[in-house]
Amino acid sequence: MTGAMQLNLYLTLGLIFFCLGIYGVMTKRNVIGILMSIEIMFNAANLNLIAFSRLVKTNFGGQLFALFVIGVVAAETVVALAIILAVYKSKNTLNVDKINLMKW
Amino acid sequence: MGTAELVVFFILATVGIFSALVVVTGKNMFHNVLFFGLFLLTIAGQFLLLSADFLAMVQIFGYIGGIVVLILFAVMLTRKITDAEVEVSAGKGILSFVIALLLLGSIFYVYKRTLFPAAAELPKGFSTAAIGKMLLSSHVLPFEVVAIVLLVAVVGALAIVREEIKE
Repeated sequence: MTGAMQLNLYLTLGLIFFCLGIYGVMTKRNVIGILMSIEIMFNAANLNLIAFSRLVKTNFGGQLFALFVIGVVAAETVVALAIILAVYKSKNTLNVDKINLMKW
Repeated sequence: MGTAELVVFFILATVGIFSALVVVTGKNMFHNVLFFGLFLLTIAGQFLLLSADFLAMVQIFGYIGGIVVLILFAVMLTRKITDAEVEVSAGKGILSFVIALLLLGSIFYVYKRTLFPAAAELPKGFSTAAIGKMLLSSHVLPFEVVAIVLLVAVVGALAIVREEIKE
């Protein structure tokens, strides 16, 4: 199995995960569900980064970048969950159709 | 990539796609979070197949041990487990499916036409030592910036939740 075919396999897998995440973001009505769909997309991107760093340019730059992505995702999740808890306390729901505090 | 690795890849891919599908379409939030953990585990397996051993460990410790547990806490704090997920209207679901499918098709078409330069030889050995050296020499600035971002996120999260309690 050549490197190019292998790369295509990983790119296809990452693409499937990414589109599943997109579908989840558009259909989910629960804020935590949307958050998890976004994280699926992050992981698809990470998978592509590592596949590229292994199969196209064999140095550790891609792995390093994926490491930074994981760090930023951790920060994002912490803030998002804090906001979710705060919103739940004031609105008593997590349905995005009902949370319209910022809607004019 | 030998036959054994290919078999492992397809097993991991199947389990990963199935669990991602459950996360996206499932109705029970608690089960969704558990399947999200399974999905992350299969991604860690793919990292191991790509000989990114350090990233696989970070994925398991940091992601599954940290973020999934955090989301699980949030789910249990904010809703009753027996609560059903709000139903999606059929028209919206079909529209979203079509959009996602169009995106999948167009991106697939684009990278099928692209020629990527394949690597000549694949380096062997563990990546942890090399990543550690890069983090503390050539990439020390982004490393410190991520540290500050994490600190700010923690302080910000505390500030957001604390304000709510005071009222």
